[in-house]
Order: sequence, then C-alpha cells, then structure tokens
Amino acid sequence: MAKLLLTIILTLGFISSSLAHRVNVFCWVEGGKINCTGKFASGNKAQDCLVKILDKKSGQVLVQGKTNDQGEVSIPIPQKAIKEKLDLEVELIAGMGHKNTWPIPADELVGDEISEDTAQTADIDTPVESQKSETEVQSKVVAASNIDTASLEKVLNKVLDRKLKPVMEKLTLLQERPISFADIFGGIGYILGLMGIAMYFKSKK
Amino acid sequence: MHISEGVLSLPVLLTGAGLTVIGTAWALKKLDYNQIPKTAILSAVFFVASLIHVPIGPSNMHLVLNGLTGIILGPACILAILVALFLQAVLFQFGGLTALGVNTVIMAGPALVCGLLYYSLPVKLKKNIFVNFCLGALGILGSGFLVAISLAFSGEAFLPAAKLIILAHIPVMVVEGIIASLTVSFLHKVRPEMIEKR
Repeated sequence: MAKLLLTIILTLGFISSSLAHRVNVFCWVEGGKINCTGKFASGNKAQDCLVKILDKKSGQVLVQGKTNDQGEVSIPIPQKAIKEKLDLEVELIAGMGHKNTWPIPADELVGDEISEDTAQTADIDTPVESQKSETEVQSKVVAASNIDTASLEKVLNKVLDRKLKPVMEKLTLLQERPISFADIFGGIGYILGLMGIAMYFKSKK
Repeated sequence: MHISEGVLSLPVLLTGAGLTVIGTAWALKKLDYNQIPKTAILSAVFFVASLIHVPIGPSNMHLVLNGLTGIILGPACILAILVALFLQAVLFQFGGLTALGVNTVIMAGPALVCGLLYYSLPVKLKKNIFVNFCLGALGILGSGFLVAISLAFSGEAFLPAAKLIILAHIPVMVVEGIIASLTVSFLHKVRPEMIEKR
C-alpha cells in the first residue's frame, strides 16, 4: 500500500514537471508596456513569433504582437486591463506546436502607474550603477520631503522591478531544467524495466 | 515535432488518445516473446535519438528515427514509440502527457506504414539502399503531414503549416533516410533474422 502511494505521488510530481515546454517566455512590466522575450531551450531566440496577451479568466485576446530578431516584443498595457484590474496571461506561440505562457497578475500592472516627475527621478538611476545610486535616489526623495510615502513606495517599486528583472529572468531559465544524464539513463532504465515486466508476463503463457 | 500541451483542440487530443489506445492494444496482442528485447532496444534508441541535434542553418533539428523503428519492429513500433514518448514527456518535458496520444499517432502512424511497406516488399528490394532511404525519409514526411493535420483541426491554416513543417524537415528526411539505409544494409549483413521476419 505504501509503495502504491509512493508511486502515485511520484507520478503526480512528474505530471506537474512535464507542464513546462521547450520554448521559454519571460515578461516584465515597465513604463506602461509589457515586455517579453522568447527563447528556445537550446538558447536560440524565438524570432517572429506571435505573442498574445489574454485576460486570464475569460481567455479573451486583448492585444497581440510579434517578436523581433532578438526574440523580444513590447506591447502597451491594454487600458481595459488596468481599468478592470484583470489578471493577464502572455502566450507565446512559436509554431509547429511549440507554445508557452507567462502570467502577469493585476497588481503588477497597477504598480506601474507612476506620475511623470517621479518616473523621471527613477530613470536617472541606470541599472549599471549599483545600490549606491539607489540609496542616493532614496535619500533625495526623502530629503525632498514633499513626496509622500505612497509615491516613495511607487519609486521603490519601480527601482526594485528593474533591479530584479535580470534575477527573475535567470530564475525562469533555471526553472527550465536542462536534460541531465540522470534523465537519459533513468529513461533507459525504465525501458529495460518495462521489457522485464513484458517478458515476465509473456513467458508465463 | 513534439506538439506541446495546450496547442491542440480537445477533439484532436481525444482522437489521438483513442487511436493510440486501439493501436497499443493491437500491438500488444501481436507482440510475441522473442520480439520484446528488440522492441525495448528500439524504444531506447528512439528515446535518445531526439537528443541528437543536427544543426541546420539558423535552427537545429533532432533525429526522430521513426521510419527505422517501423522497419525493424513492424506493429511493435507503436509500443516502442509510446513508451519512448512517454518518457520524453516526463523526463525531458518534450510534448506533454495530454498530447501523448496525438504525438504517438504522429510518430508511430508513419512508422507503422513504413514497417508494413517494408515487410510487403520482396527480399531483393528489402536490401535495396534507395528503397530503405525512401522509407526512412517517409517516416518524417508522414509525421510532418500528421502534425500539420492536427494543427489544422485545431484552428491553424493547413497549407501554410504543412508547407512550413515539411520544408523545415527536408534536411532531417535526408539524414534519416541515410541512417535507415545504412542501418538496414548493416543488419542484413550481420543479423538478417532481425529484419527479415517480424
């Protein structure tokens, strides 16, 4: 019984891991736009692929675009999504049956509505400059004191989003587990095991 | 040529699954004891073959070897391909479990046709390099055609998809044809009993 349970648990684990596909898509929200990059597991960029932005609940396509030579596309956030606080899903279709999705929850879209002047303050901070400039921006913001906590939070959100983008991108790629020798030999082992089972049952006849 | 999950419509998925169940039952019935090791070996070969990437221009293709599997196994190719595709879906995330039925039909259907064609040939033609080249290539051609059909029934336009898929796979057809003809002529020399009768 315990063995049976273990088998079921293992099988379920496999099913969830098999939901990942061969083409990867990564998206982030910045400056009122949804930016996406598509890459195949082999590292090739997914060029000229259809990218659809859907309302996650209804599955309705809100906007769509195509990736460029770099496998990137940036699509303005549909107004409807901001107004109605929709959870979005980005779907990258790479043809010949390859496809992947990336969820964008509604609060990510809301966090990006930044008033013009605070957005400019944040833009001074280039990604190359590290924490130092970030704290400078923060201290400036605090010193200016005419900015309330809410807008400070927005600036911080924006800076954090940009800093975290490369980390998130790497995490996405890491989730897409490369094929290891253990997988290959494991698979061959399964085949040999099945062969044993088949021979056992056929030999009894 | 693995179709991912969520691309195909439900009727296509169900048809694929149904055909696979029927095919598997039939192949299991036909499978005799002596054929089991051969089936397992070819299943392992098919399982690993898709990891061998052939760089072609900007993209790269992987080997499929379904034609060769069909030639060597006959009906048992359905079992070998089903097991290999299942393990590829589970371990490599190629295709997916819901699309397993359709993917099996796509790969094993043409393999079975190649196998049946091969076994209906006179002995002389079985050894013919060109015939075996064509059978190896036919496996891929058939799979490409079936991929296009499954996409067409799921809403993509058939002709452009079929053209794109088949054009993209021409190099693989050539490579697979060469591999099939070399393997079969080698087997005729060293292990003729392996491919002369089912």
